[in-house]
Amino acid sequence: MSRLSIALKTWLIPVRYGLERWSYTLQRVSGVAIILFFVMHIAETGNVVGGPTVWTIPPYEYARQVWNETKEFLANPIFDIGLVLLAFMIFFHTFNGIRLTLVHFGVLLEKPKRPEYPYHPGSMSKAQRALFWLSIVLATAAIIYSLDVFFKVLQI
Amino acid sequence: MQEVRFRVFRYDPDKDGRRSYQTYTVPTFKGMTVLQGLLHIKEKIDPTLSIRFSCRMATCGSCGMMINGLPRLACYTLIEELKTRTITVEPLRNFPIIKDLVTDFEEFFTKHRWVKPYLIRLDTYEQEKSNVSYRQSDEELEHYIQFAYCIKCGLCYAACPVTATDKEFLGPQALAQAYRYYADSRDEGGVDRLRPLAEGSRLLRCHFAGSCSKVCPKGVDPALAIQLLRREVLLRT
Amino acid sequence: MREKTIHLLHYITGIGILVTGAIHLATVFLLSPYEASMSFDGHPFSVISVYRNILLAASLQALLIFVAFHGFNGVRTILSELYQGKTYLRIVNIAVTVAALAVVIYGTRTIVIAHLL
Repeated sequence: MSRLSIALKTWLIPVRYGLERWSYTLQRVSGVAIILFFVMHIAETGNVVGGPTVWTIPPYEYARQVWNETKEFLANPIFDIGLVLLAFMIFFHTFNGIRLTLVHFGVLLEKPKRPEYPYHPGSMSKAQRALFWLSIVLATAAIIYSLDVFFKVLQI
Repeated sequence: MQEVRFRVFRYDPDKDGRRSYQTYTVPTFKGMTVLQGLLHIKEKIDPTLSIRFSCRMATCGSCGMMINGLPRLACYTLIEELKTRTITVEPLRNFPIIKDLVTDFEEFFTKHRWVKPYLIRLDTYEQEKSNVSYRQSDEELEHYIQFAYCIKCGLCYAACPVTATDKEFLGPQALAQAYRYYADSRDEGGVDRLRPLAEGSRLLRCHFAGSCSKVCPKGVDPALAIQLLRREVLLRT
Repeated sequence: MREKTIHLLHYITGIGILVTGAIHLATVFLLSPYEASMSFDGHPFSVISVYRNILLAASLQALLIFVAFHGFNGVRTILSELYQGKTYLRIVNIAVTVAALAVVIYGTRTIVIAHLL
């Protein structure tokens, strides 16, 4: 097997190894999704001043016209679905990122102890797992809110 | 007596070098382990099957293999608890295969050696020639004793998604041992142990996927050791 | 830069994104209706009004730099885990730095010109 296929298999298939492995895969996938969105978002907001060729202050009317055209182009359910998924990704990545930062400094983890069968690793602590579920809950809430914003389904 | 099917990974570089699976039917008894099943195959059905094992009681760490997709010790896994009629047995992932289920631990032990898995003392004369023993309280022992239970079976190394592709990353086993000696009150390595770990992929590529602690057969919890080690590396070097 | 420094900056930019990103989302979604936020001008939180406000523009500029660093460092991490050759890693480092700088320069241009517009 080539290095790339091994990588895709181990990175993207989190089954059998428990919750932390799911967190790892989701964090990685959402990170890549967000950086792709970020680059597109910077390109898209560049049209606020009239597009990529404009490097001095453009006429006000020209900039407004370009932005309105961009807005029309973006008013597409496909982009809206993408943004709804991205809301999940961003909220998950943010709050799981906070969890990972704390965990990386040993916070939320139990102290080392003598292993006694059946083993309960101190790294799989309740506090750390609760934060994972919290990030899932918040990300789901973000999906519901963004569905309301983009598709007016709930009328909150 | 129930029978189970063993789907065993076969690879012989001296014969044809083809990777394939061979299926054997093995009669089982209550309390039979996967290792006993494999030994039945080797003794009664197919003597060409290569396996590595020694103690049969989860102490030596020789018989690590992928059993139904998860790294486990063959001697420590009951056929009964797998709850499947077909048992798939493959060599450990992330290790080069020598033959059939036997894998090459060279890289693994090189990394283990690299973290200096021994007590470092400033006074080496005292360490070599002294006739007094180092004193240590129970509380000091608790800081590292969990990680000293490591049997170097390589299961964590096979489970880790980072070692799968990153050869610079030292892996859960070596890093847990690095912390085990760093946290030992008798060790005087201190920051010198940490400094090399702050560079490159050696330690900092751990993303806390927790798979190492999930599969460890001795409850060592390498993921915990790595996070505690990372805190020291980030705050003290 | 040392790997450890980059690693620490990854946490710091992450926390920075938490703050500046919250401000960004609040101006777009919470402080005014989404349609008003997307309009070019005329509302307190319409596109140009946000850029004209020096504090909000500065916060966007910070968000731009933080996300560029955090995101492209993530990409570098993933690529460096894929394969480890000296030349390969050097190419990855240069490519990622150039890409991050390009995005930051283009984004800064948008913020500066829109602020002055």
